[in-house]
Amino acid sequence: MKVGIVGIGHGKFGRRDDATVQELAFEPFKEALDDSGLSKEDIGATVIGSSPEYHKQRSLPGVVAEYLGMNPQMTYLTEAACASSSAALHNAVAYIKAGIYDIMAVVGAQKMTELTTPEILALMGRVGDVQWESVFGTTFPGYYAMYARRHMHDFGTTEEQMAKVAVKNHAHGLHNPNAMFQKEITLEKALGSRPVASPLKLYDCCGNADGAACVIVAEESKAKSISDTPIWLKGMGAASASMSVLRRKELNSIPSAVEASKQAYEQAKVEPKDLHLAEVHDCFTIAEIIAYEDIGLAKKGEGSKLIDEGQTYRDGKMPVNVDGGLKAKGHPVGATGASMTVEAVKQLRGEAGKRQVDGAELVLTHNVGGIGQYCFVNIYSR
Amino acid sequence: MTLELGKVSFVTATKTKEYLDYLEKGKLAGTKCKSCGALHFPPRADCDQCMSSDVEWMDMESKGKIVTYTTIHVGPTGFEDVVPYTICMVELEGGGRLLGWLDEAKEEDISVGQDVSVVLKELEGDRVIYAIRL
Ligand SMILES: [Zn+2]
Repeated sequence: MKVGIVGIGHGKFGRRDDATVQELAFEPFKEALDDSGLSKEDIGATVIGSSPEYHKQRSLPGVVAEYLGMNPQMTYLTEAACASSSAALHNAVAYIKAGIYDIMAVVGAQKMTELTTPEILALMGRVGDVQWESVFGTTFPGYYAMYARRHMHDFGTTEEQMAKVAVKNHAHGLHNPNAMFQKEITLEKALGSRPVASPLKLYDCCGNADGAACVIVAEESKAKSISDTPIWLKGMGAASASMSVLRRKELNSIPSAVEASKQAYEQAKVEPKDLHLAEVHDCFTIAEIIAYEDIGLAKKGEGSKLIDEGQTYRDGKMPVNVDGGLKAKGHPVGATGASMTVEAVKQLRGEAGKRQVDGAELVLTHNVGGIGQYCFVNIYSR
Repeated sequence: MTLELGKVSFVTATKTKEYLDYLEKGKLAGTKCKSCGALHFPPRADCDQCMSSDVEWMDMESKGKIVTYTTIHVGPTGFEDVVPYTICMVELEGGGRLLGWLDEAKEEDISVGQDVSVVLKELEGDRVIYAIRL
């Protein structure tokens, strides 16, 4: 049995001082209902994807489901750091395939700006293994910086190539009204930005944002009756890797991403060359270059070539992150996975407006949680 | 008074607490699984290879090579007063990896693959860090 996506919604990402997290969640949920033509009574259950430590409100699904009018149906949270709503989608599809529910809603919602700077800095200090790593002051950018340094050493990747990823994704973000930043940047500006964790600079890092996105999925026959253009989940890979980076053999590749994409390609019976678009997890510019390699768009060590040659621009041979990626769109961690799925669906329906990739028939999303502790790779088709 | 590892610590209750006694004697210690022989560093109380919990302590080498490194300019809570600091990942001779702070050298002086030694250096407040020296 196939599972189809029949409704999508995407809120505005950015600093949302105007809304609570449940109000943020309402925006894409309502939009997804309208998009599908369903009413909320048709939805069997909700799964909420979010990273709970950012919220003042404890136990987020309680308040979100109440605000969406989705009581008394089942609801709960999935947590996989930055991949929490991809985990939620994985869950929802499993329920549908098991025949427990016919239609489910996945809501990724995150409010990151209600914490004070000291609270954010305290959280930042506990992103790695707290027993053996955080005691030396590791940070989220610091981990990807260690990956970047190693990738540079092993393959000759340069800071300029990383900066080019930022320039591209900002150029793409210009055409996404839901993006946090709709402003182009120059290579000079990216390269000249202040150091955060060497070799990564401010413009190598995505922005913390508030935001929410929603995806409604349905069992095959229901999907066909609900929608004229259901989008099918052809492959869904999911994998994990050690919390501690000390236990990773190589520091130039995210092992969970390699494994999850292998699963997704096998299920979908397609190869990387068949893709028309990939939305990848560019929490840092180096992460996009590593993603090119991990999902097979480039050979290992040759990811930087794709950006050097401009192949991953919207009009290039293999467009990547045409919605601006995490870099320009902003990264409300729990909403990012659902946001990628929304973009995949828009592109496959041909509804992406100025950022439409011509002839997009096969799209991949690559959503990494943490520093690759979790990874979900999905392949979608019309 | 037992030493604590790192500038800030988060975990005190652990089955590997004896590690701190070794640190106090100036030693890096790992655990070796008595059942399958797997070496664990950082130490583990339970072997994830064969699932045995029968492990013994063993001394680790203090020399190794740099695997990767970064200089942190925006530090988390408790580290604001020491930025910028350079974190090195070191692979010890004979196995095991750790993170530590580059000491008595600058980021410009180091590279991936370089030989270094790990020195236990005490900080204020009965704390000890791994100082990475050329
Ligand atoms: Zn064992």
